[in-house]
Amino acid sequence: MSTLQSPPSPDDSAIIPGNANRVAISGAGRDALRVAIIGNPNTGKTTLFNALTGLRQRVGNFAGVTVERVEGGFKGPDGRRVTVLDLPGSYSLSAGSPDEQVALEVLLGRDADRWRPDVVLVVADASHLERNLFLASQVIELGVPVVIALNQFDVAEAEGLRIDVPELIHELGVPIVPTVAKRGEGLEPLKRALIIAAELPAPARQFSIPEPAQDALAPLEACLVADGLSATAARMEALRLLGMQRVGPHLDGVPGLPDAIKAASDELRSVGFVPTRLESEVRYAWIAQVIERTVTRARPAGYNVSDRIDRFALHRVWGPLIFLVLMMVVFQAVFSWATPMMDGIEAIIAAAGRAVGTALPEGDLRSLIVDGVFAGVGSVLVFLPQIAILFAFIGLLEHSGYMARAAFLMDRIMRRVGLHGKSFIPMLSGYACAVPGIMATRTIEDPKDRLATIMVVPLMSCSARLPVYTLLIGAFVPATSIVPGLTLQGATMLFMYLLGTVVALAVAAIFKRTLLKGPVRPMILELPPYRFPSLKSLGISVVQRCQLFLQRAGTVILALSIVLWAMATYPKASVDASLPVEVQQEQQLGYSVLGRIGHGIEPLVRPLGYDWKIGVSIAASFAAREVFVSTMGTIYGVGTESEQALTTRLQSERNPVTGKRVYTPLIAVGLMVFYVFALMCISTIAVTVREAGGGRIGWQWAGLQFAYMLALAWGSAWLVYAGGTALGFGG
Amino acid sequence: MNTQLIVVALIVASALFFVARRAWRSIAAARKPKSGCGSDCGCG
Repeated sequence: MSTLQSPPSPDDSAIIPGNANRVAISGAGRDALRVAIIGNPNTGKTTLFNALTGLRQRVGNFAGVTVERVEGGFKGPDGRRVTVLDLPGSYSLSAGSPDEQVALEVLLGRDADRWRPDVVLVVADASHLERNLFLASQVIELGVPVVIALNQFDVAEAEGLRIDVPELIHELGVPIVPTVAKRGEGLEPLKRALIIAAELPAPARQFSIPEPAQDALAPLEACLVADGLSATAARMEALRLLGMQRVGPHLDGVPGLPDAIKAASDELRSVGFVPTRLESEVRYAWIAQVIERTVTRARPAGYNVSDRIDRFALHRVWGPLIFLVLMMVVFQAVFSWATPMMDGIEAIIAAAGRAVGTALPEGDLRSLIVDGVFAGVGSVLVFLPQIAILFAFIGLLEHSGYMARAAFLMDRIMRRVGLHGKSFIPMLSGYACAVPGIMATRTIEDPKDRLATIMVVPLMSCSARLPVYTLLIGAFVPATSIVPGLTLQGATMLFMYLLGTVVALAVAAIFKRTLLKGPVRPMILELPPYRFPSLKSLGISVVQRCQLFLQRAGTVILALSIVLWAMATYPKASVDASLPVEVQQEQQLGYSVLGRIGHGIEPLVRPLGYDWKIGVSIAASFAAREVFVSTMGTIYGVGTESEQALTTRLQSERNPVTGKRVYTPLIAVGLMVFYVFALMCISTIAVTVREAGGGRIGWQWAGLQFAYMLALAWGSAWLVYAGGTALGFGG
Repeated sequence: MNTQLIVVALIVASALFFVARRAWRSIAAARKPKSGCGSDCGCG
C-alpha cells in the first residue's frame, strides 16, 4: 500500500490502473501530445503548470488567479512534444461563471479557438480530496483520457491523512500520481503517466445511478448524442444540465434540448427525484464511499495554525485593524525603504546624462537625449525601488494566503454596497493594474455584478499612479512623524489608496441601485491555509513586475518622452538672447506646439488651480499615467539632474505674471485626487470594451466609465482646490 | 538641414510611429473577445 510517507513512486505500476500496465512508453517522433490542466481553485494548478513547462505564470495562495487559458510545453519522456494548456480553476463543470465556461468548452472540444486535449490532467488537492473528486468525476466522464495529480501531498501528510493510492486508482479507473508541485516532486512519474494515459481507453463513469432516473435521462442523452457528443460525455452533460439554471453557449442550437431537459425533469419528479439535486446526490454518495475505502486519518482533525491565526485575522474588530496596520506598514515602507536605492539610481542617471551631454556637440540631438530621454525616462525610472517594494509586499500577502482573508473581511462591506464578495479579488488585482483586475471579474457568475465590478476596478490605485503620488508627496508633504513608524508622507499615500477604494465601493453601490439593479448573492469563499511564502516565487514575481516597469519605461514612456520633447522644442521661437535663460525657455515653451496646446486647454484646468504646464502633462498622461512625471521632466528641462531636481523645481516654480508659487501643497493634493479618479489608460479602456460584451455595448460601457471617472476626477480636484482656498490653505 | 536635425527627425518619426501603433493595437484588441491583455498593459 502506498502511503503519504512514501515518496511519489517512480514505478509506473503504482500510478496507472492495473489493466494498463503493459502499455509501454514509445512513440518518439509522433505528433505532439495535447494536455489540458484543470482543477479546483487554489490546488496548485499553475504551480504544477510552471513546474512542467518552465514558464512563470502568476500564482497566488487564493482562488481565481488564473482566469485565462495559458499554453506552454515540455519534451515528454518518449521524446515527443507535450503542449500543456492551463485552464481557469473550477469547482465543477457546471459552468456558472465565464471562466468555468471556458474550461468546459475546451474539454468538450467545443472551443473553436483551441484544440481538444488528448489527455486531461486533473489537479486535486490531496488534503481536500472529497471536494476535489466532484470535478474529477465529471471530467472522467467526458470521454477523454484522464490523469489525476494528487497535489499538495505534503500538506495532506502533515494533516495526518493517509491515502491508499493504488486503491484510489482502482476506484477511479485512471492513472493517479502524488505530487508536490512547489518542490517539483512527482513530475517525472506524472510526465510518464500523461504519455501512458494517451494510449489507454477513455475512462467512464464509475458509479451507477438509480434505474428510474437513468430511464428518465435516456431521451436527453439521446438528444445530446445526436448533436455529436460521445455517449459518455452525453451521460455527464445530461446529469449536469438538470442542475443548471441556463444552458451554456456551447450547447446553444442543440435541437430540442430545452424540451428534452424539461421532459427529463418532469419524469424525474414523477418518480420521486429532485432534478436539480440529482447530480450532487449521486456523485457525493459515490465519492463518500471512495473516500471511506481509500483515505484514513491518523489523528482527528483539530485546530491548526491557520485556525489560530484566523481567530485574530478574521475577528470583527481585530481583523480590520490588522488589515489597516498592514497597509500602513506597506505604504510607509514604500517611502522609507526606497530612498537610498532611489538616490543610487538618480546618481547613475545623472552621471550617464552628464557623460552623454559632454560627449555630444551642442544642438538639437543633444537636447533630445538630455532633455527628452534622460529627463523624461530618467524621472520615471527612479521609482523602480518603490515598485519593487510595493510588489514584494503584495506578493507576500498573496502567497501567504492573507489576501483571501482580506476578501473575507471586505465581504460584509461588499454586500452592503450590493456587490458580490467575489468582486473584491478583481479589485485587489486592480492595485497592480486594472487590466488583470477587469479580467479577473470572469470569476463572477452574475453578469450585472460582473459589469458593476468592471466599472469600478480602475478606481483602485494601480502601480502607474505610484510615480505621480510619490513625486507630489515627496515634493509637498513633509516627512513629519504622526505615530511611531508612520510619517505624514506614508499616511498621505495610504489615504490616496483608501480614497480610491472607498469611492469605488460608493460608485458600485450607485450602479447596483440604478443601471445594474439585482439581488445580492452570498459569497462562498475558500480560505486557504497560511503558507510560508517561497522566497523563489516571491522573488520571481517582484522581478517580473520590475521587468514590466522597465519595459514600459524603455518603450512607451521613452517614445512618448521623445514625441513630447519634439512638441516642446518645435517650432523654434526667435527669442532675445540678452534675456535670462529661464525667460528664454519660457518663451520657447510658450511658442512650441506643446505650449500652444497647453494654452488651448488651460481654461479647462484653470478652475483646478493648474497652469498650462500641468494641463498639458495631464493631457499627455492619457496614454500612460507615468507620462505625467516624464512630461514634467521634459517641460522643466531638468536634464540630467533627474527627479530630485524636478522636485526642487516644482517647489520653487513661480507664475511669471503674478509671482505666486505654481505648486502649493493644496494643488499637489488636488492633482493626486485627480489621478486617483481619472481613467487615463488606453489598455484599460480596450479591456473594458471587450469584457463588457464587445462591440457597441462594450464601447458604451467603456465610454460611460471614462466619462464618469473624468467628471469625478475634475469635480473632486475642483472641490479640493476651491474648498482648500476658501479655508485658507491656498498659499 | 544639418545632420543632427536629420537624426532628430528620424528618431521623432520612429517614436511617433511606435506610439501610434501601440495605441492602435490596444484599441484593436478590444475587438478580440477571447484574447488576453497586450504586452503593453503593464499587468504581467
